[in-house]
Amino acid sequence: MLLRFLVALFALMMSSQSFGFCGFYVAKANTELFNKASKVVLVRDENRTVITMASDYKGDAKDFALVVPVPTVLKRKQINVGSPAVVDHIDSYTSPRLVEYFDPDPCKPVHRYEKGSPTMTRAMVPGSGKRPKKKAYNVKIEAKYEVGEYDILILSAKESSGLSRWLMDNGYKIPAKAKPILNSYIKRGLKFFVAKVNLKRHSKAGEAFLKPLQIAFESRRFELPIRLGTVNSQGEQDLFVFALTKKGRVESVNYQTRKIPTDKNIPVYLKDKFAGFYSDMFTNQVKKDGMKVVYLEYAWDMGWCDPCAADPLTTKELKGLGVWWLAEDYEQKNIRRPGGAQNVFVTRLHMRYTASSFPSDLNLQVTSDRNNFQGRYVMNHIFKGEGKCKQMSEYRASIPNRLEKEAQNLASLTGRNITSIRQKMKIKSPKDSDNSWIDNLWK
Amino acid sequence: MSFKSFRQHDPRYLQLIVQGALLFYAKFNLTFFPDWSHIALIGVSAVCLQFLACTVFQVRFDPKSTIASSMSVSLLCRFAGIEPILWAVFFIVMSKFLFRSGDKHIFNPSNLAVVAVPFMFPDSAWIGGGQWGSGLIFAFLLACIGITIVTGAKRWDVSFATIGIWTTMVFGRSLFYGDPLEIPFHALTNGSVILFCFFMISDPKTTPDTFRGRMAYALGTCCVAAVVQFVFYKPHGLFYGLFVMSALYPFVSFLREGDAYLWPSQAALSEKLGES
Repeated sequence: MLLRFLVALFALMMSSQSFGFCGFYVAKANTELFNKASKVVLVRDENRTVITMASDYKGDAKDFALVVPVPTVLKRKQINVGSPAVVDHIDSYTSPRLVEYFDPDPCKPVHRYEKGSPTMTRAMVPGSGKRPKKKAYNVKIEAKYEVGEYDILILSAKESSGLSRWLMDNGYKIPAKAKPILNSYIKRGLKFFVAKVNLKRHSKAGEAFLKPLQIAFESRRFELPIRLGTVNSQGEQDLFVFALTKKGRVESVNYQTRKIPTDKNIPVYLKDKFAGFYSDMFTNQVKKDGMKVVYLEYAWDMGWCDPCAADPLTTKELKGLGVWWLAEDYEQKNIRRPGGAQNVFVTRLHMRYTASSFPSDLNLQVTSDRNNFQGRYVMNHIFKGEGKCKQMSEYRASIPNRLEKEAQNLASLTGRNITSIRQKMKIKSPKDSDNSWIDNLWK
Repeated sequence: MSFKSFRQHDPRYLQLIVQGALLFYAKFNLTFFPDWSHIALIGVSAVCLQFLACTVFQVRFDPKSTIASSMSVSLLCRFAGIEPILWAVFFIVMSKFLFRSGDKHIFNPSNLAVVAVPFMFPDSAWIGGGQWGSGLIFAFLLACIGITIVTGAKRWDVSFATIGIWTTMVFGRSLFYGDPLEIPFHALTNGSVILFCFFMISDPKTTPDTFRGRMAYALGTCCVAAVVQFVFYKPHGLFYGLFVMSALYPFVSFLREGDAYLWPSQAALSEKLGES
């Protein structure tokens, strides 16, 4: 009796484990899907901020230039060059993900298992490489640094015309409509972080891509200055913000924050088309909300993930992004462990914006919300085997409704035509199904 | 029932209807919404505590204000634990009995809860951000203006004064910085601003009882809010502004002038007692 109990208990424990997310991901939707997408990693605690600005710039390095308003004159030790691989890693780790389930044989009920495999800039102002001319710009170069492959200047200005002329004369193509924005920043007491690539150091390093720039400072403001980036763009652009905090989820204070639709069952034919699905879904959601919303795609305690779209970030990688509070005794170098780093909460925000839909800079706040959230989409594969049990006929009877629900989900999420979805799924509409008894009536 | 007699009804009924509608809208349209369990806990606990307190202090039990305050706190605050919720309930109810000056309680109960609880529990309570979306804002604004007209409540002047002064400050600041008008306009279309103006600072039981006092109250609130929001970059400055002005109330004599406001039911009771 005791032996039977122990065997049953052991079986229960084993089945509980097999019920966990032991499988792999099919796909993920990272930032590469989106054109004109900027990526920013924000680390924030109390008044301290570290910003990593990832470049997806693919043009000639000599044409690269970056202008960012900053609250203070930064010292050399407040500026760094980061690793693009780490930014890509956090993008993959937080990406919305597609998972697939395989229905077990209804005649032999077994816990379902999940199968999946691990599966997201700009605001750049291209320069022209001209030499600086001497003019009365009323611009002061507060500091000048060489950081990695970049030549950095911290500028302060008294008025926007002089600053615009200085930037133009030094190879930064600032459009005329940027002047009022520069003026606004100048009056608010902001300085300007200006970066260009030093071609000698860049070619010496032999890197194909530009590395992310990082700045650290203390300021009561917790905001992202997005306005300057809008003046140089031709229409909509996407911004991804990866916020790392101790306390909890980050949200916008001056724009609505909404969760992306999640935990939706979608048709299995999307397995190799997940990227297109997510892109359409996001575009449809943006359209419904009038392009005035910041979307939450992921919010999770980095101590664990379930399921994991990518390996968790190591302590070293997080410290590389600016997470200064991680204890030294958790240093793991390049070793990745399933639990990941502790006391770090990651928020992934995604917004699509234009100058008119997002007129103000993005003001943010750190909340105490540590509820986990992820954009997750589910495919359920139908069991195709044979079986003659009562459960099999019940299972087969439930399939049409389930498939119809998946089709409806896809249509509602993406705005795609329901008829063409049904055609691809090879299912009939409920109305046609109701009439199908007539088709076989006199055969 | 004539329009005149309808106007004599307690304005809190209409407020409760509007706040209830907001809660239902938020539940089905916003993705960040407090748990129904939190809303229920706040409402039920507050009403029970109000009943107990009224029994102890031998005061007539009237739950309308308590329910309205509970709904305001549910709409504005988010909690990640039971303890901050219980403290919010404590402030909603007991502030009316413990913090008094003459015949009035000093703090608007929901304002005190919204300011004090996140301060006491920074890791488990916060004021929700701009969660409402602009479409709803205008509907909400219209509903609020509708209430003021229908009820003809004499204390709504402080709501309009606050809106007017805050709008002037926000627009003035943007004009100084050379910002496009979309920026201040966007800053003002925020549900929490409208909720504040029509459901918080308008509380006739805590605002001054003279026109002069109310105008000074509105101006002081907006000035403190401007410092909090534009100098210290802390969002939701208006809530802190009202908190500071409420704290000053007992110490500023001209704010304390005038006859205390009575709800219609209290006025009717008082009239009856006077006749007898």
